[in-house]
Amino acid sequence: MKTNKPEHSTQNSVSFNQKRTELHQKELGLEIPNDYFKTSKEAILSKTTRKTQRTRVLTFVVSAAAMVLLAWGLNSVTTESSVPTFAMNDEESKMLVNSLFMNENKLEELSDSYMLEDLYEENEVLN
Amino acid sequence: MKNEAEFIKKLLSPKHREKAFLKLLDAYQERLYWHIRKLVGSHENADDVLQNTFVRVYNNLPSFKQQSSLHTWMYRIAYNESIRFLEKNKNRYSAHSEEIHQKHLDNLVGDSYFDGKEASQRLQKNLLRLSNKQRKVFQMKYYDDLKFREISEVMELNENTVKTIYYTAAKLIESYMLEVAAPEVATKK
Repeated sequence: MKTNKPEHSTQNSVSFNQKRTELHQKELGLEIPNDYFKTSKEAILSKTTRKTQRTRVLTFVVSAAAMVLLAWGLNSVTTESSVPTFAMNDEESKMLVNSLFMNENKLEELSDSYMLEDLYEENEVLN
Repeated sequence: MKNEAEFIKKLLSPKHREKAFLKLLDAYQERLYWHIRKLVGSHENADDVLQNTFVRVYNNLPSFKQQSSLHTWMYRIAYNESIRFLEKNKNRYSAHSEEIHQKHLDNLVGDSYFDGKEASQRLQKNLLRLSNKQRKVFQMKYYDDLKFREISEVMELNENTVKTIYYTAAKLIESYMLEVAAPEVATKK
């Protein structure tokens, strides 16, 4: 049975742990696998601090991926909105576009002739 | 632990947390392992409970209120984890205490990490003759080197009660150990 009672502190924790292990092994017959505390330490760290590190890296990667996707999405929406909303083979749209590039005088001439034609037709109907 | 308040600050600071936790692990891994091992029996069980204990310590550090020392707080977590483990696995044992003790001893003897020497077995058998409370108090005082105040905080018992339980347990163990020696002397005569 033990006689000395070591104090709790980090400074003498190595010798204290050694004494404790010896006490448990000699008196109670409790054994442990070789290098157990080393492997157990690794296992604990992988479940605590390293897990936090992994989570942090994963969060960063996911956020970065989300940002890239968002940027790509916004870019494609902007690109799509710059494309004309009408179909090029649509007759009405073609007329509309053509009207934009038509000479104003010619346009007036056309509308006058259209109106005059209308008036003739009306007169003919009335008479 | 020297400058405990300072150390706790480091444990809580995101910048120093990892380093401080490693230090904490170095200081407490072995002592908590032995504390747990005596409560749960086999090495495999103790390994599981030890890992759960440190995960719980790590996750609960931000909510540590410092009403007790870090030392006692960690022992309490280890103790509670062990009790939780035993509760979870209590269906493996019958309700009768003698059978529980026998199972505990069988587990221990069957454990490949028990040396099985006669003296160790005798001491283990005698420890199992104590009541649950007596055994826990005795082991925490004698093998884990905890102070009566610390044991009372870990087990949530009055300090004087803990002292009484310990001295009774120590006397019982002494008498149990002498019991075996007595018949041998008688036969020699």
